[in-house]
Amino acid sequence: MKRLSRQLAGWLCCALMPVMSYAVQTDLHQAVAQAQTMKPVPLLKREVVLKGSSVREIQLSPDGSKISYLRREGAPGRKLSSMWLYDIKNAETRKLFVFKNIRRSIWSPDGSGLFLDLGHSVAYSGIAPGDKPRLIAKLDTEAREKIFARDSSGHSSVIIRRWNDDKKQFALYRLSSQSKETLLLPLENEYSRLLLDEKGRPDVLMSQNQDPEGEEELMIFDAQAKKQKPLWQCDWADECRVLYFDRKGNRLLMATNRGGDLVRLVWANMNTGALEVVHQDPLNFADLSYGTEIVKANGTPVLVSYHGHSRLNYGLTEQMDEHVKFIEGQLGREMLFFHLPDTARLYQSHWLVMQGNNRQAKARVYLYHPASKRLTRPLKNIIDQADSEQQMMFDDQLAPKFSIHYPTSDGYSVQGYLTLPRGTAIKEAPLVVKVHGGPWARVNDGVDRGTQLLANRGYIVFEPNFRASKGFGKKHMTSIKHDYGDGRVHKDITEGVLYLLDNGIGDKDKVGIIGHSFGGFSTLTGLAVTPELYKVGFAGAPPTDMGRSAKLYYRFQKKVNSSLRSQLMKQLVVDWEDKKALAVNSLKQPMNLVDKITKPLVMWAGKNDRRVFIVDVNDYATKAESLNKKISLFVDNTAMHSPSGEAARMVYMYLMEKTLAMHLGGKLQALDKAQDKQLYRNLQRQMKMDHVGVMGL
Amino acid sequence: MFDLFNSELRRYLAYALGLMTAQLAVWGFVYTQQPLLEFGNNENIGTMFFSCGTGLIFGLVQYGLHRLKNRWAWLVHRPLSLAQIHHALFGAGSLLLLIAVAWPFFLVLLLMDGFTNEVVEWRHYVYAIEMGLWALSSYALASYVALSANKGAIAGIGLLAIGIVDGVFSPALIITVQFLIFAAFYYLSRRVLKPNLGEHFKSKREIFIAALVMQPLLGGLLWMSQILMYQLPLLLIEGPPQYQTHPDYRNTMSMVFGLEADEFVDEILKQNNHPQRESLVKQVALAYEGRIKTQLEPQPLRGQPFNIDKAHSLTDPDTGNRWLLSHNEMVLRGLDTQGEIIGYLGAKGFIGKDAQLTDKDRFDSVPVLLMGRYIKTGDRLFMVDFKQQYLSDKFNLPAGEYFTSQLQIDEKVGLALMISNKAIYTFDARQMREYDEQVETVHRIELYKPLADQPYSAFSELADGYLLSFYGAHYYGHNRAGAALVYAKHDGTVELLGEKAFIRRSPMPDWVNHMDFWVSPLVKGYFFSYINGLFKPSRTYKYVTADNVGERYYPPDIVILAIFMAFVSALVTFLLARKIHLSQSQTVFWTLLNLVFGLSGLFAFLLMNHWWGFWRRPAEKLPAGA
Repeated sequence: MKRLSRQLAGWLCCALMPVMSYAVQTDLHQAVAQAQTMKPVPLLKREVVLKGSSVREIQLSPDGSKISYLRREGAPGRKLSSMWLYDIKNAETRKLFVFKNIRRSIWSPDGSGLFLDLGHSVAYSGIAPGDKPRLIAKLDTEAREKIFARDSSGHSSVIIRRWNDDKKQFALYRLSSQSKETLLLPLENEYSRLLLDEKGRPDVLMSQNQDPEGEEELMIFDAQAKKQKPLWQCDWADECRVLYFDRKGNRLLMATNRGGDLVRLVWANMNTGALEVVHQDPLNFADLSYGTEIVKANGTPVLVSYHGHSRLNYGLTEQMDEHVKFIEGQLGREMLFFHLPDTARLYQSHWLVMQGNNRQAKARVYLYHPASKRLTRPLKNIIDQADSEQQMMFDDQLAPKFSIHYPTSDGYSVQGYLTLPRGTAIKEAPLVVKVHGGPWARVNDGVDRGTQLLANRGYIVFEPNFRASKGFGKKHMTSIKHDYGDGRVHKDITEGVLYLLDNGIGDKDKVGIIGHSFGGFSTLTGLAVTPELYKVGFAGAPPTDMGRSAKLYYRFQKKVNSSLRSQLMKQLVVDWEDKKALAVNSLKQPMNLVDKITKPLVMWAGKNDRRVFIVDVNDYATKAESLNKKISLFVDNTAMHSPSGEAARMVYMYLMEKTLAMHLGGKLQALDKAQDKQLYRNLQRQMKMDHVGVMGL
Repeated sequence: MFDLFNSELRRYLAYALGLMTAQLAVWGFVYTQQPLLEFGNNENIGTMFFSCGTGLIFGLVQYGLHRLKNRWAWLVHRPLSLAQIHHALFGAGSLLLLIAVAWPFFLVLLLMDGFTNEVVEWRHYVYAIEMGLWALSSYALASYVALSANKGAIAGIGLLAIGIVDGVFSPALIITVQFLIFAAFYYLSRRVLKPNLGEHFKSKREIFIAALVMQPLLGGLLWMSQILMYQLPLLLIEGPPQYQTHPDYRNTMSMVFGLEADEFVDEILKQNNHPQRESLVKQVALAYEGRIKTQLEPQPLRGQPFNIDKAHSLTDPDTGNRWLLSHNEMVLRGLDTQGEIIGYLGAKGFIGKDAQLTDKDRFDSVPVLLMGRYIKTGDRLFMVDFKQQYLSDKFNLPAGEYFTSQLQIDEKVGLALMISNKAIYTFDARQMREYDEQVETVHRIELYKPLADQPYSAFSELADGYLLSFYGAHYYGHNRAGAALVYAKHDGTVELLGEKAFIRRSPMPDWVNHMDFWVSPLVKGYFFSYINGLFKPSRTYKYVTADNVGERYYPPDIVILAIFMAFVSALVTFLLARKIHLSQSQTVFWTLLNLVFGLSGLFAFLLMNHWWGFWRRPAEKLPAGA
């Protein structure tokens, strides 16, 4: 029966694909027409496009009566921020304190204050007038002690992980706002996640199988059992997030793709092993997203979200569904993020609804009162006032972005996003394919400032969620095995570009490829494998051989005692311990295809990168240089895997902008030696090799 | 005289030339391994020990051999005056020492000055002169020790130590003081050469100088005698000292050294029963704690000897090019790896090698080179970008302020800080490391007291700011120990949370704590501490200068003890002098001298006179000064 339903689902999917493709194609032509008639946007300053709101980390208190948020304080170089509190009932805002090194804040479950993660210590700040933040615990970061989880006991506490050097094991403690630590559970394993029951007792623990003979299966344990015994087990490729443990019914509420393709909400019966699907994407397209809300008392799920083309929410009870639909009726369906109060007060207190769709330059913050069905924007003036001190993009300057589907040569349909420059003849416009990193990640529907920068410079930006991307089912992510480099993944990307060109989107003589990390790897691959298509490439922190990079990365992780998840890499990329497989795999890797590159390539690398080691990037560049390829290499001396800090980000963006402008003819915010002194000098100082000529003014 | 000079010269010339050759070989080897003129502390100490050691050993050997019975008679019964004999011996010895010790380095400097583009300036030659003076002073001291009837003559070595410079001062004064030290020893060396080697000095001048040069070490030894007089008996009677249980312990600064950060906060805040006491005490126990170096680092003086420089050059890590500090030109001179001049680096940035240097290009005060890429002047901090040949202006102090310490960076909490005479400035460490950008001040923490007088400080990182602790033995003024706690919040507010005054530095009785003062209040306590303070300004506090004599404070009973001991010393000196039948004039002189010199003077008297056994033979009249 199960097999039959799986086959039926597969057949339906294939049967619907042409229909979906057609539907999207119609939308595509409409979108192009619309974009062409939009008012063109003048060249915006790089800083303006890339600048985000100075108000961030907006959180609703558990009782739904208050909102906390952070605000940048003073000049950016001071790296100071302030914590603010908005009292919903009295519509009053109050600055709590100014801080420098706080990594995140977590509302106390009883709503009395906020726990603050300072890395090497934990602080707590009450929210009553006169309350001051105070340190309540010291953490040994070298022993990897940390805030481990939010507490659900309803008390003013948080769960921390401590290292017991005598026993050589971790233990979980409940840390109260009064600095009292209570042992919750000694940990026999290095668990990745803890679930507490409604009374705050450890309920379920999750960890990766650390047996060297195993395959890194995800193991789920009963934290209250005297003897550790797995309740459930998922394979290395499965996603399994436990949301609730129904002890009476001996079942787990999980977000999982086990026994299926898409991640969906299921009750897993541990007596029978049966999975009862509670909800899955009605469009049968996307995985269940994070943010599923459940009733703590009985585990009843009330709200789920899926991010397919865009993020969509579904109420799972009649009451919730009514409210969700009401809000969607007011704001539109897409890209709504719900922050709900405690489920005990779900319909009495306010909800925080954040809207972050790609038609808004910055997220909008709404308060929804379910009892009165009232939707307000109390923080609008506060955010506007905070942002008034800096220049940011306006909504009507955003380039339109929309989801598309395209067929691949092996009969598959791949989803991606297309961003079109406003008021530009799309057929003649340069086209840039921007490949996401990972590769087990995805592009989503929100505003991406880097993409907007390119669109503002006149580029059509294509961002495919090629096979290997996450969020579209297990098959989509794992069906491509050992075929990175000159293989199927690259074909998925390139066939998307050809599809767009075939549909009159972009000038075939002005196509570029860019990306960071795996996106950089794809750029190197694209230039080597399809040099006739791509006229230029810009690669950030690119692995030059996936197998070698994975091997070095995991070796390094082991050295620094970080948690490993090598099975995914070994299964999907290459088993680097199998020398023969590694050698075969390396033949189709960019490192061995350098001689095939004929178009200019500009690379950015972080000198202290611990994922893609600089030595590999240097080797690649040196090899290309020795073959007289047009290659440039910029090495950020302080960066790790990505540029860090505003100055470094500006360099990265300028290099990308300049590279594309030189070879595809897009607009460029020219470098003014006097005005952009810092940028100019950063470039001069850290450019290791420049045969492309990006340093020319 | 010249025959004696010649024979003495020839006797040791081979050794001197051998040592010279060896030294040249060492310098040559060092030159091939590292920049020769970039002395660190170790090299300086090594050179100083070599110079002083050579002088001392040579002096002891040369004069030790001459004073052998037959040789001495043969030496002093030549048809030459004692002065001529001394001139011949000392002249030959000095020449040999200069050949062996100072000349090789001087020659190296001359060669480098003439044939390389290395920065060689007067302040480098000064060092060669210093080496010579160290060697000659040690030699003079050794000759005095070898021939003196005074068994404590070696105590003069304490004066040599004073002449060793590790602070900031003008070469003129350094050489003057070192020359005066040499002159004192030379004088003693000359006067000690007499037929009767068992005879003590008789002339007042000889006595005064011989006694004076012994004072630094005798004072120090007397101060250390508290181990025998106090610590050891206490240890034997009561076991290891339990200062913590001492009734005064909690009121002394020693308590602070035994406190954890949270206990310190508690101690300070309980003084005024601060409302946040409990909360802050708990927090500090959980906070990251870092140190702040508040020790005074004076702005270097133009032309100071080169060994005092914190760093001599900056090196471009990519090319290996070196940028050498020139006090004459007040710029850095760039040399490539071949030693060719590639340009200059001044206050306005990099300058081509052929460009004419103008006054605007020069730093307005001697730059201090830090961490391989920062340049600090009196009130400005620059950052050097070698690749771009660009100097960015990272930070400027407001008018009227000057830096008193180096740039400090604590990577763990991303904190950079600099201290001026008026405030502590904090910055974001990442921004401090970024090129081409002025660093934004995160906090300006106004100093409510001069940091130089409270040399210990630390910070604890709290959620909303830093808690800074300060303490020092002179917090409230000279010998008035105290501590304070300051809360510098990230919102810009700075609050002095509390202070605590200590009754004294440690629980030991005042007579032990201030023993260095009362054993020799005027000579060691004021005169030599002033000289020492001139040469080691970073090690001490403002109360060593002549300007602050009036501000000094000692407990009244210690002042009385010092006066009493001075009178006792004078009285004992007087009685002993009478007992051993010194001349009236010598008796009066010694008595008055020890009224000024105090107890250490009395010990000098005991070492410089034959007094032992006077009680056994009261009727016997000893020859005066015998």
